[in-house]
Amino acid sequence: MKAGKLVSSLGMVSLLAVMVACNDESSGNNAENNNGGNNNGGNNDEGSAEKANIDFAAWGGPEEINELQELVDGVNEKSDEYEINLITIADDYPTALQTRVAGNNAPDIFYLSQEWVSTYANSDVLLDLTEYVENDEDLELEHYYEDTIRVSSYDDKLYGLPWISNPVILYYNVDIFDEAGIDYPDESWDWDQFRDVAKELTKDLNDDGRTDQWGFTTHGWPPTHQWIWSMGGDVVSQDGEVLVDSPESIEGLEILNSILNEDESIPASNTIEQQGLAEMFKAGRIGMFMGGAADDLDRVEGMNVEATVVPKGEERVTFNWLASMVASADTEDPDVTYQALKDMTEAIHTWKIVPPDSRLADTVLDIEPRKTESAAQAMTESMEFARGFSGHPQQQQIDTIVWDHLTSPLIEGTGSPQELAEDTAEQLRNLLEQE
Amino acid sequence: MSDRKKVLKKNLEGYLFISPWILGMLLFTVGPVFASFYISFTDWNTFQSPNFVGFDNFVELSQDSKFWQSLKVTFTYALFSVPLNLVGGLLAAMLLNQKVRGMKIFRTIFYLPAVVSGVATALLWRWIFNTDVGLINSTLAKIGIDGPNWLGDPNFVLPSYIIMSLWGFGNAMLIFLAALQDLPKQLYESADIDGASILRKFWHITLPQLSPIVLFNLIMGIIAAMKIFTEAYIIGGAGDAGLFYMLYLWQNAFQFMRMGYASAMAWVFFIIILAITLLIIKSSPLWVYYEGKKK
Repeated sequence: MKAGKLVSSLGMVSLLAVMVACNDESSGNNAENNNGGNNNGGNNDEGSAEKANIDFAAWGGPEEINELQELVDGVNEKSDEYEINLITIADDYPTALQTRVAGNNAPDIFYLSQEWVSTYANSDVLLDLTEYVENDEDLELEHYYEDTIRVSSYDDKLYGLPWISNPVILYYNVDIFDEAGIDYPDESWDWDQFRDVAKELTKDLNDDGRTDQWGFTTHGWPPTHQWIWSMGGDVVSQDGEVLVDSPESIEGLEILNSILNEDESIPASNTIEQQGLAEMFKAGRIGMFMGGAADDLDRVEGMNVEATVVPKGEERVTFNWLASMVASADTEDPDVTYQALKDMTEAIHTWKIVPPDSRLADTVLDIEPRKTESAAQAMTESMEFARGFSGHPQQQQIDTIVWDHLTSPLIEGTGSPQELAEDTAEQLRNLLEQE
Repeated sequence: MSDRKKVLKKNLEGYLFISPWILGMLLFTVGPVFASFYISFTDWNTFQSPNFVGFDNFVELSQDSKFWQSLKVTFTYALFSVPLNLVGGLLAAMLLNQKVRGMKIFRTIFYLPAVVSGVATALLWRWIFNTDVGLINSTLAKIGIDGPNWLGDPNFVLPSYIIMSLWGFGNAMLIFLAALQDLPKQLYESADIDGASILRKFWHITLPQLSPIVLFNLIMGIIAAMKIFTEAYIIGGAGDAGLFYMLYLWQNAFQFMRMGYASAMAWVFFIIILAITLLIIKSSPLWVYYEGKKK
């Protein structure tokens, strides 16, 4: 009896130990799911014994992932070299990915948003694609919008192919403009005109002494860079020079500061936090909104929304939210991995707007028929002057400093653009000098 | 079977039963603790192999203004929130120690906030502190006071966090309550016979009898306050004014990919908390009363 008990408790213990070990191996991330339908047996895929297994990590909601899985299946069908296995990371993608890479378990190819490319490339985590692309007769980089390739590169080497490009455009609520009898915004607008109209559209509709319709809204989005760039400034230049306190940058910050703290044409910051930036626009309480091209702002039922390019300053420029498809430097067979990366990226170009490939500029409405014609036109035009971040190995620290010392105090109105820019510049110089 | 063998077998069974926990503890807690000690002397960015850099991380910490700022924020927070929580917990425990109908319901209600998840609490308080529609400011507006921008104004961020911390006094309260119910009745009876007032009884009986519990709650309270992370992560606050130590540590580890630097921060933090705890324990004979021991 007693021996039996001992054996069973030993069994329990070893079972638990195995469970613990397995948990360790799978990096213990509950948010990760293997979506590969026919991949239960791991690498021993009998039907396609010679096909290389390519793990592909991506983010996305359930619906998006189903669509992506269909794309993956399509790409797999066409290839006799590889079988892509989709791994979706639903929560906290950067940390989950970081953990995988640190655990020598990096996916062969994966999504990487622009602010991480330089950091990863600088740590030798990514496969250098420069030579593969040079030797590839089917791929011509000049068809890509130039800035999207710059963002996928680091130190003159190409580390990824951009799969999505989402420039900021100006959405406007047609009914609010009609009501006020004001002409719709167009590409002739500059910041002065934009601010004037935003003020005019801000109203107390029911005469209760409280504003209930605003001309514009912003709360850290679009990034502060939008204003700095449009006046010819920058936060940190491509070669790492701190420019946030240059006269041009400060001029851009002055415009943002006027919008945030002087014009009274946007809701109070707490109201925005409470009710949501885009949500307030969708609720019909905001006249104009700067949103990503792919946002669903122009398909709210019962609302008449059109779009155009953002207002210009000294130059016309808009922020571009970009992500690249990159490959792990540790991938087993780089040639096959490159092929899978390229095929997968090109497949995604037929699925996501805006494709970073300029030859596909006319396909926006085919890809996403729910977009309005004006929005499609605005985003295609915007691609010509849209811009991503500078891309620095310490981009995360730079972003944190810019948020803590510049954007957040600007929103709260706790300092002048000049003071805040100088403080931010000092912090950034301290950081970049440490290298 | 000899007695010795029986005992040995019995012990072995016991160890086997707790072995999953021991293994887990060794693998997932003790292992990483020791690893982090080594990592704190490296420049590990989680991707590349760590390079030994000696005391570089610690030297850099001493020159890092954000490190000092985060220490200042965390200490200030602990300095106010810990005593407030002790007093709040004790007062609530004394109130809940009365013989009143429905007391169990009151006890549950007062303890409830302590078991609510930190994320939910943080989201709730973010609404309470909202400048325009928040509970505090709309109440203040009713009596004609224009409330501050609690979470946005650097001068109000820490006070907001301290007010928020009072929400969690349930843990201290529960322990105080258990101790209060355990206090010897005869002491109060003889004090009553001598005609002692309520205040006197509190000062000369309740407080000395409770002092070991105060010591326990003080140490636990300090550690908990210094470790504040969830609320800071969710709410953030006015640039560096709400930069708590653990938040800065997390930023370094997972945002800036400076695991070596973050590990150094963790060890510095450990030493600081250890020193404070030792100081309090060393000072305890001066103010903690243990029955059966003479001062």
